[in-house]
Amino acid sequence: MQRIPFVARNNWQATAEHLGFAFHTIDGEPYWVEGMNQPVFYQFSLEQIENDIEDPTEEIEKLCYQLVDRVCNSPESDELLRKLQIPEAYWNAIRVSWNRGDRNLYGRYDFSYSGKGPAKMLEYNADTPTSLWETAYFQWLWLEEMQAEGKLPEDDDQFNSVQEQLIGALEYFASLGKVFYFSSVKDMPEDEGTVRYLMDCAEQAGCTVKFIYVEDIGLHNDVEFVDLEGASIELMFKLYPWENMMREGFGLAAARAVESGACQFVEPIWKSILSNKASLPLLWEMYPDHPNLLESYFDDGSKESQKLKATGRYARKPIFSREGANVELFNNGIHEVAEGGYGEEGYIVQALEPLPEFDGNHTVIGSWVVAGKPAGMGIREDNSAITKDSSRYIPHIIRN
Amino acid sequence: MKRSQNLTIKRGTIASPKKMIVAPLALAISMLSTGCSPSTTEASLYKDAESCVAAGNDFNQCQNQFEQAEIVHQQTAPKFSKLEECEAEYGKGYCGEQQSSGGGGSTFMPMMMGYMMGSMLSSNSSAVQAQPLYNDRKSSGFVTGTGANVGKSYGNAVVPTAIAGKAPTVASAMSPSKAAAAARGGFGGKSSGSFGG
Repeated sequence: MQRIPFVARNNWQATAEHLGFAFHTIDGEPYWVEGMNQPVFYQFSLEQIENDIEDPTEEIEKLCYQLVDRVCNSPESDELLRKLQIPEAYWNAIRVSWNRGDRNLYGRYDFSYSGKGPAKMLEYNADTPTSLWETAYFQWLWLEEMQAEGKLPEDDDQFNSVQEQLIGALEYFASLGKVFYFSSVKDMPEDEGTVRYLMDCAEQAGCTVKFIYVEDIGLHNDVEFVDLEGASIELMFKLYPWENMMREGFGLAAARAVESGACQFVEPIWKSILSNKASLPLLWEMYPDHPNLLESYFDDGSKESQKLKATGRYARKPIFSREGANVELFNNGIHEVAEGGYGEEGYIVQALEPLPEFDGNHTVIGSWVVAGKPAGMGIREDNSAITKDSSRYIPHIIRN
Repeated sequence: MKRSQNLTIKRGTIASPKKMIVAPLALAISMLSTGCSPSTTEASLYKDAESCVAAGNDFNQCQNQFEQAEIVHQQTAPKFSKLEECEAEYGKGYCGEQQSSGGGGSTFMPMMMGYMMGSMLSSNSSAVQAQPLYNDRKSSGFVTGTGANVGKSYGNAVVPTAIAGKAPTVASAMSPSKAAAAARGGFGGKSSGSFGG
């Protein structure tokens, strides 16, 4: 694993803007790598990708499914759902959705990996992962155009079949024969871009698609979700977290719609178990000392949590939090904190696994799963040790 | 061998890039009527009997059909308990108030913007039953009392036979459409930024 400088593509900015990638620069700071004064990519060997990223991703995904099954079906189900801070009114919908086998589409694991030793899973963005389009589409286009311009050898490859696997997974939803609604919140061009990309993939998979903003979703007679024309919504992808939906006006109606099967959501409601950082201590409890998992506990004053904190090297994360908000890192007296508005539902503590540094940059690996299978990789880089929404997107290649 | 050589789908073929982010919302309407060649009928859409005559039609025929459509309008126009509900369907300024005869408050119904009748040029003009037309807020075109889109402007129109041949016979219930009746904004209240993670 190496960080290697390169010469930006000719006219990359025009290409990005033509594609609607207006956020390649955010608040004057580069988000896409080619906006940097000295663009870089990361280079991996095939062994690093296959043994250290791809295989562990597949394995952890299986462990996660076992955790969901335990939460839904074990005698301690109620207790675990309570620990996950999931309101009781949603327990039945979650169990129904999991036991019925409601399909999920995608997710992204964040790994700390330096090129040596096992990748450590920091967290799982199981419900509303972002940077999908950058990974699946723009990063691949970058490789193709770099090769076309002679700036990278033809033999260079990329761990990336995200788009193909998305289309493959979406064929199942096309087979349901329903209009597939796609939804994101208003005034969020990045989220809407991701959703419109997924709509393109869904159309290629044979789905009939329609877009609706989250705020525009209607509820008729308290039971039926409808679009702006009053047509029934029976299948919906939402780039909006279940943890929010469960605390909003239509939440209970969504739970009932899941239970009755009147509306199928993607991601399914059972993903709320995994998108939740309380899943990290629960995974550790089930698979202690797993090479790709980090020691982790609820921050509840228990003996184990106190012991971990006493080491002085740990991360404290809110059970619900996105894009690094409210994460605190403790590293032998050095305390780093990211601001935000999360944390009222409680915290977990996790053994510190500092992100590797390359030329002073902190690098995190996003490993994508599509329909439960490893599908590709995207890399983010930040000047600080906590990866945030503004962290730069860096492409990668495989070279042997 | 490159891993990605196993990929069977050609990369970068995702539909026209412009669709990515800047595409306008697809209008749902276009999806409704794309079945395989339904049987259609020629009909004429007029504002009133005078414009029917001005178009070269027989005076009595025009008058007759217009009166017929007015009766259908009075008896079957969709009725709403709130002006906003009516306007959500038919557009601002396209609804009127009607005192109910029993003195039990007022109701609102769309204003008749014209009528549909058989085309005199057609050999089969009797295939069309005279009926009122309303403004449709969403398409800014004309809809029948049952909500079928029949055209954007006055003049000749090609209309599915099933719609042209059958004027509404039953008054629409005093309930607004699902679209107007639905509660909205029950999701998204916590939106204060991107939800990615």
